[in-house]
Amino acid sequence: MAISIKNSAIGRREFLIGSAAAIGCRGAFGQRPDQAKLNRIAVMSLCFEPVLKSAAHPDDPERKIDILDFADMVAERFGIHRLEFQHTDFVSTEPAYFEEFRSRIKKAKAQMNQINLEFANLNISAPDPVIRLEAIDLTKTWIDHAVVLGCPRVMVSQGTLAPEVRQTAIEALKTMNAYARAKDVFVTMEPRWRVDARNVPWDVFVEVLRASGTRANPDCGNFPDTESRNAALPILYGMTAGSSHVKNIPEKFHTADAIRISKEAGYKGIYTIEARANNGPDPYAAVQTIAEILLANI
Amino acid sequence: MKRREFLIGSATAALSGSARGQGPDQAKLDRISVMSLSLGPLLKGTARQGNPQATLDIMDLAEAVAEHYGIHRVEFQHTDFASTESAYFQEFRSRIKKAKSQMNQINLEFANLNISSPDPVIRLETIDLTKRWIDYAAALDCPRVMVNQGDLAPAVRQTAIDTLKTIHAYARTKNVFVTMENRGGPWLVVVETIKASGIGANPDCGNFPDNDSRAAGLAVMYRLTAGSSHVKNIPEKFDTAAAIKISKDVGYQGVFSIEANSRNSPDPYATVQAIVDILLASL
Repeated sequence: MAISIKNSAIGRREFLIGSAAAIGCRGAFGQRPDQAKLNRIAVMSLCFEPVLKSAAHPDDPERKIDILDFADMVAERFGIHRLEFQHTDFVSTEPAYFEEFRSRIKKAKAQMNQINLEFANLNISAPDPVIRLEAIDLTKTWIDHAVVLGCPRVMVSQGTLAPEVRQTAIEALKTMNAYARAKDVFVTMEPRWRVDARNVPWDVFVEVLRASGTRANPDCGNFPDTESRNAALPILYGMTAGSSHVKNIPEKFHTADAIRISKEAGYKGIYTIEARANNGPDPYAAVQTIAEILLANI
Repeated sequence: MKRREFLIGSATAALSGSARGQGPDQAKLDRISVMSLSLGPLLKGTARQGNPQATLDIMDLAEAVAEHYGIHRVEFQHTDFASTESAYFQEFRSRIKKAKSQMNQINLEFANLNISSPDPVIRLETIDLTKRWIDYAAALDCPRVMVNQGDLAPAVRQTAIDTLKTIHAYARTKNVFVTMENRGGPWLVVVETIKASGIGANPDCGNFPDNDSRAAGLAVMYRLTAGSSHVKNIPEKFDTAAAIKISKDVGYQGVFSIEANSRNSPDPYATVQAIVDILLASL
């Protein structure tokens, strides 16, 4: 895909601050990448969090990309036309703003892949029924927003899924899922794992997915070790709604292995790049690295 | 409504008519509402599980209020609703209709969300969840939702006003009023916020620091309502009848919704009845 800086919504400087290897998708990959493979890749806005404009950091000179220009940037930079957003990316939920958002994505010939809901204070594992009901209601609202934005999936945050709240969490998920199905939207959930957190074992997570009828969003980086990853991913890739997350943590996991597992499980869906701080200070280069792994292994 | 619930109330509150020796003025009763909060200790709920007094299902509140007091307006907290599914709301609405009652207002007390949050994401979540409750209010034939304003501190006041404007604009398209009551903070700030955002006031005659501010605040706030107000009875601090007089002096024609503090009362029905009696005598 040719790059037109002149007509781009992003300025020349943004093109230059990325890694030298990431100057354009054809050049970046050394040869024109396979469009069918690119069509199976999405990029999360989270990868570019340090350079996205933010009301919380109005004076940060590094933050130059307006979220409305994100689709355009990703298409021009990487030849990728699928985007994934956090619900916190949207500065408004008014119809006029969504209309503009949608038109910018359409202009970039792109498609919204998923919206990830990370409500700070509400989730399905809350022991308080009022909080769970608020989590259901706000999720329903975002399912409505996903419909307006032409987005087929919303991913919810599962909270602790601790034994004492698990059944009520499943009931909350069922309610969300029933609403979403009526709107042709999928509700998904990803396995999570952090060194400093009380983590849900992946088999419990799979049980919750099955019991609630929601779908998996496999994240190949969210496991404590290779053994559990190898056990879980074949199951999770068989339970998706057509999308997954790809992190690259070379000091811990072999990312290409995860792609191989997905292929062996018959997965035909999207791989959404989730580059994080561990992938280096340059988000463009970090995304490029994962895109190259994907193009080499899909 | 079972006979047993009739008997546990105070003797004077057995029926609205007999309580005062004659049938009360229906036109006055029509201007009175009872908040679910007032009968909180009697309501079933997870927080009150095991409490032998908590036998009243929220679905039966309208009927209980109608039978106890002859009052056909009821006001709810959003936390009262065990579900927000259509079937539940349909049942809720049919119970209210069966009691020939009307929902007066739903009070939104989101635990972690309010318009004064400095975080734009939290404010946006507040807008979205409030809009959802505006839709629910419309589905429940409820004309008003009251929002929690948070602290309205100077640093966040303008963004809070902008947030309210967005909520208000949506509510108007659904024929629902957004209201806000005076709380612990300065009443003038609440009034300025109400005026700037275009929403309605929900005067609460008990939420003032002293008589001077109450007299000044109520006279302004009763003129800014969307047709409803809250009545607390705090005899050790305020003359409740004096608040009703202020409302009449400024031409207020709306509803007085009883917010009785029955938390420690052995008989919440009687606590509400005391305010009903003040209102009937003063309206």
